[in-house]
Formats: sequence, structure tokens, C-alpha cells
Amino acid sequence: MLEALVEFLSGIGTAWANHLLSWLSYVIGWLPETIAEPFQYQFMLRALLTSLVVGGVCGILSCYVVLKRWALLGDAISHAVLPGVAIAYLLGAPMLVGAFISGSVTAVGIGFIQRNTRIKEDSAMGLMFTAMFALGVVIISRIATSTHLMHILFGNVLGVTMATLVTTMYIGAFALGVVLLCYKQFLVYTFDPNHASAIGMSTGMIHYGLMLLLTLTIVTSLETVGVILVVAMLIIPGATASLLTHRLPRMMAISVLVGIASTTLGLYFSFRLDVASGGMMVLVAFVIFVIAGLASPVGPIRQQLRRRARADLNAD
Amino acid sequence: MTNPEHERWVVEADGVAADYSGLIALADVDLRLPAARLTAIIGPNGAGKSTLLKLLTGMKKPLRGSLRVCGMDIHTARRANAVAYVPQETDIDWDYPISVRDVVLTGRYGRSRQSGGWRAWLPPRFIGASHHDKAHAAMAAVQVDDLADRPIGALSGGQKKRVFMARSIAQEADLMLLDEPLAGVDRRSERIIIDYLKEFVRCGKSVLMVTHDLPTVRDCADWVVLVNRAIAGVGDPEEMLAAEALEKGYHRIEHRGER
Ligand SMILES: Nc1ncnc2c1ncn2[C@@H]1O[C@H](COP(=O)(O)OP(=O)(O)OP(=O)(O)O)[C@@H](O)[C@H]1O
Ligand SMILES: [Mg+2]
Repeated sequence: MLEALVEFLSGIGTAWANHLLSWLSYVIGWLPETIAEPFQYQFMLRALLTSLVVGGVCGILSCYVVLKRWALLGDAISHAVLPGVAIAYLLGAPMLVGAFISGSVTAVGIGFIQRNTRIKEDSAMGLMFTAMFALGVVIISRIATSTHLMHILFGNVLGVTMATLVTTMYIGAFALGVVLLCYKQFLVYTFDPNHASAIGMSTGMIHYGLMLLLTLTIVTSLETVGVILVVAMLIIPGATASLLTHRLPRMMAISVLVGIASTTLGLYFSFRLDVASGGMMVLVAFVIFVIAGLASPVGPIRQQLRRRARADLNAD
Repeated sequence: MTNPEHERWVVEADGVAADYSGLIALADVDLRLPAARLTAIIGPNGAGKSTLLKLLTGMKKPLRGSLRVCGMDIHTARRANAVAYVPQETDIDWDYPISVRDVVLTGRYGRSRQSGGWRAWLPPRFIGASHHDKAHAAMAAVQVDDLADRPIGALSGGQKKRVFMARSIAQEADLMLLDEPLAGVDRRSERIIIDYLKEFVRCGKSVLMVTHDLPTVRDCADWVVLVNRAIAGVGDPEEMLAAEALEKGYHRIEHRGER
């Protein structure tokens, strides 16, 4: 029964993915030869589509991470999924399930330490996620080669399989759907949780819903940017967007654009320069952040322009 | 205190206590507050005034005891949109990317869910003209309608308070909780806020307002609760603002603080 469902879903997903891939290659066909050249390979096309999805989903979630000040939590979850990934690999189970379980164990563990000891939240988080990460490293060092460890830690977007691409697309669609349907709940909860509670929203459900989306996003990004750098993709797009606008919908749009731009440009440069894709993506994101910071309405460039305009006015 | 038949309780607490990871912030709260009054909550910093309001919004679960608002348990009251909340200034992230209009519109989210239908699932812009009209009327009631498109970070202290009041007005609740709505507010804003609250109470609704502004309490409040890690006293303003009652209410914290 369950197997039939999985079969069915992966069938549809693969059809869709093939559709999108051929459409992508058609669009790329219009680009100049130098840019289009790497994407004549099928694996590069798959990597490109994965990067697009991951960049978009990270972009949306990073708005909530930045607004809710969850940067440390994101870092904690991303490290904590490692043992789950390793064990799932060992058992031949889907990575997603393992990652999700070990992420949840960590969240519960953090809560338990906080409630039953005098240790504060940040120490509890640091303690749990490093312990889980260590466990993951130990398990992986036992079962896999160091290349494998490197791929999990830093991603290997060029090795993305069709199955992974399909899973990524499903998770991306799910995250997008949830954010669209629960936009109001997430808005009120991140802005003023007291009001959310007063008007009858279930703050606990919203909290864990957001955490679930965060975990799913991290899991989808594992192959692209890897465990260690994924938190950058959950901070930089949102942080960049928050420099440029005072409206949440616009912030989300900018954040998605920044996410997509960094993953795709990162992919391109990593191929051209033959360097690690995850690292390149984060570097591109950081460069975009710096440019946005310099050019933002309160940044130094515009201030200089304003000062000069005022000086001209005075001179007249 | 006697309870004539016609009087309704807006808050009924029995043996309520609240803690923050083990540290008791409020203990032994037995409280009956009559409806249709402007009740002031006073007490020193860290007395648990905000905690009391958070218990009433359901944000904070009581450690023990039973709590009812507007004759309902907290869960029912929340689903019925019975309680509206105006936060203390320090509880809000003023850099949050949201405009005045959108903040006030969040006051209608609960109502849009209650009225049901598929529109409740749509983004805020599409939840229906009636909700947008009510939000606009609420902004007009406290004279912030001309600020509708401003980001909330670009407001003065008094304007900020009035925006959050507009959100509460839009919610059409029976009980309005306000956490220090008069702190850092100029004469004009204070006038607008107090006038609205008096009108609200005249319509048979109830107000619970935390404040440090004792002269205003003397002038405007119908009822006063003195909080200091427990309920230190309940009564009319004259009685509660008398020197010895205040002395008692404000003193205990220092006594406890030494330990
Ligand atoms: N989130 C929190 N975590 C831990 N302790 C808290 C938290 N919020 C409040 N407290 C503690 O609970 C006690 C009561 O706090 P509360 O905010 O209710 O006081 P208050 O009467 O509103 O004070 P103020 O007049 O300063 O606003 C204080 O001792 C405070 O330190
Ligand atoms: Mg307070």
C-alpha cells in the first residue's frame, strides 16, 4: 500500500522533474555560449534545478529565521541531523527520515535540559548539537570513506540523483504551500506571540510547525551546501532582504531572489573554477549581502550621494 | 466584597501561580474583578503585572490554580476572541518589516477565522472588505489612519501605543488588556487613549490597564489591583492609593529582594 503510494508519487515527481529539466535546457539554450556551456551535461542541469529549489526554500525560511532570531537554533538543527543521516545511510532508509528523527531528538533534549537543570537555553543548544554532531562524525567515520564524510559535511551538488531531485522538489512544494496557507499565523506568531495566543491561534502548533519546516529545509539543503554551511543560507538571504525593505512580502521576495542567485551563481562559479559548490554558494551570498549593505537606503553609498546633493544645493 | 446578582466577573482566579523556569513570579492569586470597569493594575517593576496579563491571553500557562475570563475558560475565551492585548513597548521588535495597516489588520485574523469560509485561508489582503473596513474604522478611532502606510519603526511613542490599541479595537473583544499604554506618551495621545477606554467601558466592556502613572489612576480608574508577586490589594482608587496601602504594596518586594 505504502510502497504503491511512494511509487506513484515518485512517478509523478520524475515526470515533472523531466519536464522542468527540458524546459530549463530550452531557456539556457538562449543564453550566450560561455554561460550555457556547463549546462549541456545532464548532471549540471539536475544540479541547477536542485539549486533553484533549495535557494528558493532557504530564502523563504530565512526570513523567519532572521525575524525570530533563530540563527543559533538553525545551526543547532543542521548539525544535529548528522547522526540521523548516517544511520539512515547504514540502514538504507531515506535520509530525510533519519535526519528528521535526530533533529527532533535534539529539540526534545534541549527542552529537557532547560527544564530540569539550571543550564540556560544557549548552553543547552550548544551542548546538544555538538554532542549529536560528534555522534554523527563517529558513526560516519566507521561506515564510510572520508570523501563520503566530506560530501555530507560540505555538500556535493554535482552528484545529485534524480531521486534526490524529486524529493527536494516535493519538500520545496510542501514548504511553499505551508508558508502560503499559514502566512497569517506565522506573521502574528513571529511579530507578537501574545496576540497570536489572544486571538485563539495555537502558538505551540505554530512554533513546532515552523521548526518542522526549518528541519525539512535543512535536510533538502544537505546535498547542495552541506551540514556545516546550510545555516548561512538560512541567514544571509533574509538578512540581506531586511536591509532593503520594511514589508514582509517584499522581504520574502527579495530573500528568495538572493537565495536563488547565490545557489545558481555559486554552482556556475564552482564548476568554472573547479572549487567546492557549497562554499562558493555561501561566498556569493555573502558578496550580495555586502553589496546590499553598501547600497541600502541607509548604507554609505546613498548617504554619500545625499550629502553631495545637499552640498550642491547649498552651493547654488 | 459582595457580588450583587447583576454584576458579572471578568476575571476569576483561584490559587493561580506562575513561574519562569522554576522561579515563581506570581503566587496565590485569588482574584475577582467586576466587568464593565476600568481597572488599573499597579505595582513595582518585576512585580508580575505583565505576567498576570500573559496568563489572561493564554500565552503563559498557570503553574497551578484555575483561571476564567469573561465567564469562560481561557481556551474558549481565546477561540471567541474575547480578550485583546496591547503589549508593553519592550515586548515588540520595532524593526519588524510591517506597516501600521497590517498590524491593525492582524486584529481581524481571529474574527476572519471565526466567520469561517475559504477566505480565512487567504493572505491578509484578500480576507474580505468588511475586515479591512473594520480595521480602518479602528485606526480612525484613535487617529492613526493617516499613518497607515508607515513602517511601525517610524512612529513616535504615543503613535505606537495607539496603533496597538487600534489592533485591539479591531478585534472587538469584551476585555482589553493594556500593558503600560501611558508610558512615554504625550498629553494628546494620553487624552485619546483614556477617552477611548472610558467610552469602551461605558459600552459595557472591560479594561485592565497596567500603569505606573498614579495620578491618572486616581482620575480615571474605577477599580485598582495592587500586585507585588501576589495580589497585595484590590479596591477602589481612593482606598488603594492611600499611603499605607501603597506602602504595603510597594514595600514587600524590597524585603524579598534582600533574600
Ligand atoms: N521571559 C522571562 N523569563 C524569565 N523571567 C521572567 C521573564 N519575564 C519576566 N520574568 C521575571 O518575572 C518577574 C515578573 O515579571 P513581569 O514582567 O511580570 O513584571 P512587571 O510587573 O510587568 O514589571 P515591569 O513594571 O518592569 O514591566 C520578574 O522578576 C521578571 O524578572
Ligand atoms: Mg511589565
